[in-house]
Amino acid sequence: MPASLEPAVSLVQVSIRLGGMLIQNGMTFQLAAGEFVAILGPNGAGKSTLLKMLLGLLRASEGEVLVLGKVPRTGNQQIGYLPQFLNLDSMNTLRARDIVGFGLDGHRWGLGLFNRDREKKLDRILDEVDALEFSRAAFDELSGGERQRLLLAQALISDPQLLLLDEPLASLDIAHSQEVIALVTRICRSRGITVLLVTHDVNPLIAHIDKVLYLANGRSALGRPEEVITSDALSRLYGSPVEVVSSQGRRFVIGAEV
Amino acid sequence: MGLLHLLSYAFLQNALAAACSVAVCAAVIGYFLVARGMTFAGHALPNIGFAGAAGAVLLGVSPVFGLFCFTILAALVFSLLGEQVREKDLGIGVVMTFSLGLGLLFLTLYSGYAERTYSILFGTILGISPAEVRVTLASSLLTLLCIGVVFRPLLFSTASSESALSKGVPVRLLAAVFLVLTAVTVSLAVQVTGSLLVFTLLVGPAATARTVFRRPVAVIGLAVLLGEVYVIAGILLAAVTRTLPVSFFVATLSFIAFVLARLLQKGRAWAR
Amino acid sequence: MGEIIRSGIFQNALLGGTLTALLCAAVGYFMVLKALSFASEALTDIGFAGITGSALLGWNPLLGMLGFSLLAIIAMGALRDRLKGRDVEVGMVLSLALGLGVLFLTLYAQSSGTHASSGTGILFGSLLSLSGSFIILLGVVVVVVLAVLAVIFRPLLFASVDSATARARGVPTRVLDSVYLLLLGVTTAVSILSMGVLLAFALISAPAGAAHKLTRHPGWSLFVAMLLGLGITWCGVLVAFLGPWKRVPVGVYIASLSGLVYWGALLQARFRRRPKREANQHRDREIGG
Repeated sequence: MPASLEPAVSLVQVSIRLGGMLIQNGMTFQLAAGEFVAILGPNGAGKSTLLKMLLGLLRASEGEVLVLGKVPRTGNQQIGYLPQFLNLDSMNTLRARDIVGFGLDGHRWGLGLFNRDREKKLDRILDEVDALEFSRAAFDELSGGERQRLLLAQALISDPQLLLLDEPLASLDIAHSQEVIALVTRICRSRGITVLLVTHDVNPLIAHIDKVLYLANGRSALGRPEEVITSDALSRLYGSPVEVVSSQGRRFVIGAEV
Repeated sequence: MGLLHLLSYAFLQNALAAACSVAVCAAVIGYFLVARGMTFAGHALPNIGFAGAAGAVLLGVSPVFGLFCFTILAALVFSLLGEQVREKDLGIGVVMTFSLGLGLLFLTLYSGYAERTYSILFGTILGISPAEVRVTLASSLLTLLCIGVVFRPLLFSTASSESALSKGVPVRLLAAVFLVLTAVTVSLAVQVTGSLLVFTLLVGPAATARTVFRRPVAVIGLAVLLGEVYVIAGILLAAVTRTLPVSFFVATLSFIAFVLARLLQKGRAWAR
Repeated sequence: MGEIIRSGIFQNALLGGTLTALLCAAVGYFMVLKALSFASEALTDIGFAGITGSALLGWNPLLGMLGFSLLAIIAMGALRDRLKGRDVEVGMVLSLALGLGVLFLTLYAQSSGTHASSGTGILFGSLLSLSGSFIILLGVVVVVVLAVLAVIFRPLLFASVDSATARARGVPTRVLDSVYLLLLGVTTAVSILSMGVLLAFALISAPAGAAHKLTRHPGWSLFVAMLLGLGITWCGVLVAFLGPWKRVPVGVYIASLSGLVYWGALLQARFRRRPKREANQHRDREIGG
């Protein structure tokens, strides 16, 4: 699928304030359509906040934000979202299909009658994420990796142009983590959609991503991993000496909180 | 047959009609209460309703009117307080006792207080008037319609509020609407079981059904069935024994079914 | 007015109320700490079934209630760790107890030829009609319970706040918890007799709950709880005797005042700590990034 020429995300001199604190100042960057971008940075730097801003859940204190060419608003079916925290505790007896189905029409009023097209669409998306075999199982019977696949399906089922994933790898072990990363990469390339993935550890992703957006100390830096995750670049960002050691294609940050 | 003869009485028909419609609402609302972890509302709202009903009696107005007013008001206040209700156990207990005290204050200022107190606390469905039956049926229908309309977004926001919010679901508004619908259902249920035992009709069937089924439609279906069985059996038994209140039977049946269901659940888990 | 104050009834009521308030505040302090509110509420309803059941069976209501409560306490003790988050289960037990209570009440009224509604005395209490001998009994109970609490105060506090560490330090947490539950059961019984089943929870929960909101220091907290409980009870008794409405049970005033005091403390806590909390809240939300 050809990527459009318009940037997927565009920020101009954006500042984010939360609880009276200035979290980000003067952010200006553009993300092209179809790019796979990892968002990194220490806690409190504004990673989740940035995603929420793109979703229209929070407003920027200053500056202009454009998502897919328009001002951010909630209910944008063009954006798929996988939040960090889920309150599924009492609802995880729902079937996998039902949870994925929310992404399609959970926001529509009424009871929702049985619809053959809807079921076909569900099957297709479940197949895409390799979750068809357990689509009728209850959510609480599934492993962490399987759950993330389903939540990914939920985010994708509305055919979004932009996918926002807030720490999807946080609670997964290495095997499941790699499974999810492979899946996300495949989806990004085959559908040609823009993917923003918030994470703490870039190394599992480093071979797959196009760019890194690093947020720290009220500042941001966007570029390829080998440009941004360097001792110079990060020291400038953090405002204090940071050393980056690279070994076997991986990069390790020393001297700063990641 | 004795039963057919009983059923020919108007008071019994009225009671059954009202109670059966309430049982459906209670099952549906109860499902969401359990899913949202808000079963404490099943204790707090009825007691607040008691204070409202008592106040209405004092003012010479229909108690049902007082029930509706107070519970809906309380629902709106709870919605405004939002998520900031920590230590809710203690807070709910205080609200309950305060409302009970207030209600009793109103009733003692009214001359026939003992009987009125008893009837509101423990229910008087057998004495329901045709007018009240009409109000109950209309309110139940309205409530069910509203739930039908908000069903999907409510389910979505219960399961995953952040995702729902990002998809444009008005999560906070829905929460408020749901609480108001709960208040209406509670007010209706108080007529069947009295304010002290609303929990058994509101939460009991849904909690029991949840141990058997997983999908919302199935759980709600079973909850409706259970609720209907409880109220119908309760009313018939109360009519036959003539002195024991309906609420006692509903409470007992509800409890027994719940315990059985949980035991079965444990048994199933053990067998695996 | 002076006549009323000098009357035996008034003095008994005041004395009875004072003793009840002190007892409930002290025991309630730990109840709030241990987050046993819901279970405690259930205990009062079980007491209701106990009283009415034993009245029906012709037993001494007081002993019957204590017996039932004891069974409930043993069950609670056995299920201790699994009570948290079990709102639905505790709610069902609570409702069952109430349902049984209604049954016994109705049957009892039937057998004695009166309407069940005359049993509302059990429901709403009789602080005003406490006999001298009961007051003496009450006094003994209060002294004993407070003495026991005084002795186990520090280890109980430790065990309630951080049971794992306490156990590691050699504190007999299981025993202390059981002892506490016993004290709670006795206190509940006392409160039921003075305030009635439905309002018994008020004096146990509200003064202690308010005190916890007003100060974090354990010693002060306990003292404040007792002070609040006393204040509420005295106001209640005074209004009941000297106020305009004659038929209102004292328990009603006490329950109402308790509610107001608790919410007052809540509001005050909210406003006092608001600025700092907002910033921290956003901080915590940002822990994800």
